[in-house]
Amino acid sequence: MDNLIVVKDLKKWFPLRTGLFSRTKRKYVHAVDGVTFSIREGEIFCLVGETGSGKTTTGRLILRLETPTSGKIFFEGRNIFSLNKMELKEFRRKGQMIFQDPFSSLDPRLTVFDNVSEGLIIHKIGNNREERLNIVSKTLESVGLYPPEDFLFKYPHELSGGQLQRIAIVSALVLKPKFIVADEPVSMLDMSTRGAVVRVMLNLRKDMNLTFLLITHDLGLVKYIGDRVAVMYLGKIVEEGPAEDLIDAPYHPYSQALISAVPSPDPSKKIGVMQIKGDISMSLEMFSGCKFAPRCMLADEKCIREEPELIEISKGHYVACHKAEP
Amino acid sequence: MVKRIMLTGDPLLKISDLKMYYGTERGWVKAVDGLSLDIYKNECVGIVGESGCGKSSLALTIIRTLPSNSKIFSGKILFEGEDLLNLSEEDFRKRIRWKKISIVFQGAMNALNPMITVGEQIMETILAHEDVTKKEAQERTERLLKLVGIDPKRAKSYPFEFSGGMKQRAVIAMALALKPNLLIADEMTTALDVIVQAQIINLVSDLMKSLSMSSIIISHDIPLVFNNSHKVFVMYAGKIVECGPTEEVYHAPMHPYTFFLLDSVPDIRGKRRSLGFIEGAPPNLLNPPSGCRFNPRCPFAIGICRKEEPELKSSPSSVHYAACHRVNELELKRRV
Repeated sequence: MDNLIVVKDLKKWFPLRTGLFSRTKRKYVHAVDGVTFSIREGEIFCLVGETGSGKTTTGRLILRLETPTSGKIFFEGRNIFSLNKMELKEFRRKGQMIFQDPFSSLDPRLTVFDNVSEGLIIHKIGNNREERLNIVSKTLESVGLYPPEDFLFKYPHELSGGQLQRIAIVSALVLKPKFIVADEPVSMLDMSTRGAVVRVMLNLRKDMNLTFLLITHDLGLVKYIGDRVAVMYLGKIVEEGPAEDLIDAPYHPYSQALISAVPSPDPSKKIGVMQIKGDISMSLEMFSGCKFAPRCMLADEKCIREEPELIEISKGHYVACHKAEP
Repeated sequence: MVKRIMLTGDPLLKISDLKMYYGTERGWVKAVDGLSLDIYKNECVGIVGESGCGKSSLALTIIRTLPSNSKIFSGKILFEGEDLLNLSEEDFRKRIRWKKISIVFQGAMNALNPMITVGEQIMETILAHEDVTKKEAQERTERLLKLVGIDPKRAKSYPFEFSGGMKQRAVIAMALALKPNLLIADEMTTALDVIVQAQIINLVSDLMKSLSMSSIIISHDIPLVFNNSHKVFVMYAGKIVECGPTEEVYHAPMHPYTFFLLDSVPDIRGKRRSLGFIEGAPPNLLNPPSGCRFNPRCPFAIGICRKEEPELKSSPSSVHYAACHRVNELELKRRV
């Protein structure tokens, strides 16, 4: 498989508010702090991490919804930050986003059809209303909303969360994208309806070779549908590898703590003992070494002093830790 | 670490046939509709269900913080043998709420007063209910903070100086301040990150043991509830559809709803498989379907399911119940 997206040393720093006459040096939040990874065509690449780890900012950068502080992102071989106007419009069609909250990502005063066809009109797809109606109907069927006539002229408040999220997917799909950033696409939905949205994603990948960047904190979901996964901690990727392999046997002490904290629904499988100190605020102070070191049980002087690089520890599995051993 | 425990004697809390509806312009919303459950001393009970199934309404009914448009139509809530529904508001506030039964909800950490230090807020709770000196209350506050893993020196901090997890710990300290016999945790860790969630859940389960307290964990997070309860109640549309020892319900669910619900949950320590789902959505409680409330979504529904409401029936083991007409004929085999 070829790489559809290549991210190189991407950084996004947000300035902190300081007083107008403040003489201290301007401070920054290092939301994304030098991440490098690539997403292959037709795969579900997952970004996981806690609140504030920078996973959503990374997703927004990849769709050019933010401007990076530094770094490059290549989509189909072109740097997305140096596209001309026409190319940018084409890129806006090819890369789509699905948000967490389907209740607020659709206009409540427009019907499903009007919501979905907005994008069609902007991108001049379909010559008239009839053609657009046809496109939307077909796409509704493809996500399991059948028969489409039952949904086309409904308003968002008449539909359930699972149905709305599938309609949000339809709004992305009608534009025939190549790539979708799905930011917590099922976390607002009831457990019993999540599977339907997940199935739609998997079918699209299979039938249309769509590529997904799945941003989530739900590690169980990653294990079930992810191809590869990157674990982020405070703006950096600390571990990256095949999804099942990484979740079953993580190397990085942070990934280990994160994964062992997730409960299994099976009452006989207890959560692991967590080898971790304090909380994320302990890692906010600036120093040159591994950002996880202040919370790490294994950290020594080298970890505080020197930042570990991502190294390949087993086939396709990378980890940034001085202490990791194959 | 939850193990099955032997339960003897009378239940600590016994709810029978509770009906609590909300009055709206369009009629009564049947949020809790004929619900019964028992909780024994030292027991940790889980209540799971999807949004709008009535699980939080149940918690609010027990602790009596219902909005003004609610009405209790029938039922008893016996706590240590006394019917809480017969108590006056004054009596309930003085003797029960916070002293015997306390609650921590999802947004509880945001309910801390931003203008008062965390320590003072806990002291206030103690002083309002018990006849102790300020110094004693202060000492107790420090002990409580230590108990929930906060450095007692931080008693002088304001809520904004705390992280989300620490605020939630402070709220738990407050809920434990008067040594209640029952703690209700309604989506207690839902807004928190998974590592913090695990720390708080471990804390609460240790506290339950050391203080010999009972607890009710209410959540839509199935792994969380199933991993931390002795007994579990599955709610659907205002009713209990299944209950029993957690392990038994997990491995051998009897009600189709429980079966399909569990099939839709990924297990991080299990094998990769496709995720199941249930078509449709839970019913509108203004006007629930006749018969079994799950029947419009149930692939096994037959004539009787649409007409008659099923009662909770016990399994041969007699500790596991399900409300399904076809409970004895269905073979629900779990995919794991």
